[in-house]
Amino acid sequence: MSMGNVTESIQPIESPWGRGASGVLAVARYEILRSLTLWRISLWLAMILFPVALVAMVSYNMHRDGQEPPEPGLVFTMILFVLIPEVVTVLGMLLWATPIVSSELEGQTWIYSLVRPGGRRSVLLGKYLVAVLWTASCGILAVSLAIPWTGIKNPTETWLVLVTLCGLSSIAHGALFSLLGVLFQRRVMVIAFVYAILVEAVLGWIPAVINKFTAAYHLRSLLFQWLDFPITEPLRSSQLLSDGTPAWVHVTCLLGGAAVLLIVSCWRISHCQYTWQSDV
Amino acid sequence: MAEAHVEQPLLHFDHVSLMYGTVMGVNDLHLDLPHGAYALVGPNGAGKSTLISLITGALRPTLGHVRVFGENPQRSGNLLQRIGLCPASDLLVHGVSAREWLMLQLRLSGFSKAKAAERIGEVLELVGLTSSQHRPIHTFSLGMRQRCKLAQSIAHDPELLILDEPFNGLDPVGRFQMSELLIDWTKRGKSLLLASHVLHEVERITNSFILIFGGRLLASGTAGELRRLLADLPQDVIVDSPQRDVLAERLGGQSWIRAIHRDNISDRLVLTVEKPLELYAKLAEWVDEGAIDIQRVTGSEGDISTLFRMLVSKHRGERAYQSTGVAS
Repeated sequence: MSMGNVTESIQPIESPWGRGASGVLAVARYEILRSLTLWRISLWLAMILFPVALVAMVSYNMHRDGQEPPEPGLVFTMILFVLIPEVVTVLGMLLWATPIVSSELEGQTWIYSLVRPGGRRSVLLGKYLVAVLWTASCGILAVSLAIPWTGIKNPTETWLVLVTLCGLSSIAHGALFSLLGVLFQRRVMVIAFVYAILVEAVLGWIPAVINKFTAAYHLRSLLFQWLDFPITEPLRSSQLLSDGTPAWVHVTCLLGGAAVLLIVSCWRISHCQYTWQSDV
Repeated sequence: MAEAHVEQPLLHFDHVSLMYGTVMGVNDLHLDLPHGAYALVGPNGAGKSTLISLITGALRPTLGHVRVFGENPQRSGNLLQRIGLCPASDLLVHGVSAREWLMLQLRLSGFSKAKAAERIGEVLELVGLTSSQHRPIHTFSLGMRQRCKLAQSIAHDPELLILDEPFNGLDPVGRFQMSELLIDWTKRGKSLLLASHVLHEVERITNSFILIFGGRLLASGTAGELRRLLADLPQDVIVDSPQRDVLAERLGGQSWIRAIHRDNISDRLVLTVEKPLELYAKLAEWVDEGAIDIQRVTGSEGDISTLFRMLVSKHRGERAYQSTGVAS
């Protein structure tokens, strides 16, 4: 080995923004490459097929027994909404976004990101991007495969709304779980799971003002507005849905909230001293 | 810009302490190092990796300041462009090739894809991994993974290369090649900080040492400076003489003798001496006078490892500073 033939003229990209974007894309590409394993692809397929199989079974049983609900469109759309933009997305983010830092620490690869300019932020944002891509693609494929089983009268419109909600849900929940992943080093999956159950599943469905602070509230409200579902009296008074708030406000809350959470995560990951070794 | 960099010292530790909860990682370290090659030597757990983490900005000192090339590593992201780190931990990467992994590291350093690809080709050639570049890293031997780690640390052509236990897991040929590469690195005028707990491995590469133990700086300087330090430290000397009782009696009256022991071997005395040079002068004088017959005098080896053992013994507060391995 000799150092004699090292090129002296190689220089990095000058612009800091260009460098940052290049780093994020490099991490995303690398993570996608690493994700192409049998285990991860099987998990991805399972998350697509599980809601599709459930919807198909419900639909089959209804048709077999001749017990069609009075508003099948609303019933099936709600089933799809709960299963896909809520459960599948939250589950996907739990798996892909939560271990953003802990997987690096466990794999002893965090140190390599630390010694690169902007490496910490690039790892966070690159992994977040991949988590959104994987989870949103799961949701979109699941919606596309499940809708034909439902017999909904306006399938294209329902598909478009649910697909948009999958995207918004992935972006919002991804930012939330990324922040949890950045805040906690140990037992982060347990913390994120407890958060998902307590906040998104329980708090998000409590008929009180507090549910407005959850992503589920805004996603639900958008679903009812975009598909013109009637908001009947018990729903209106339960405060489970917004009445009269424009759709753009909900979209801004979800995207703006995600941006704020990502900024906080970036700050935290840049300043936190994660411990990855026992050598003192 | 480059001229300004040259004026700044390589490393400046201003009374730096670092606490891990209630455990002291680094204890009041004050050190100024100009550009050059240094061996950071200390046993496992001495604080070498902690010191490296402070240099790279991964850890923030509890007290004091760290400056690398005059900049605070906590606040200057661009500073990292000038540092290459080869950590001690094993490279546990699954499902990606050496080339893909190096591509990620170089792009995180801000290189475009084309320039990174060009540089990867060179650096893989340099560390001898060209033929294995498309193989997944988890199928590599320990030595190959070590070379892969080295490749990422020099790929962006840093000014300061930091290596934490680079010889771990390398076979004799690998150790030789690694030493050659590092010698070559220093010949190019680049700075080097080489952390190791095996002193003889680093003596070939550099003549400047930083000895640490328990998070404290024991000594620093060139081999010559440290040897002078050795002369001023108490050490064990073995004297073989058929008149050992007479010799013991004479030595007992000297102020610089700390302890005299009769060894199991007849005619042998083991002395713990505060001023070895005075002992040698006095022995020569007595022999010259014909007062005493001396068969053999065995002093400390006079190398850096002896000094290190003695400094550690002193730091631990042990009664005598072992240099010869003979019980005192």
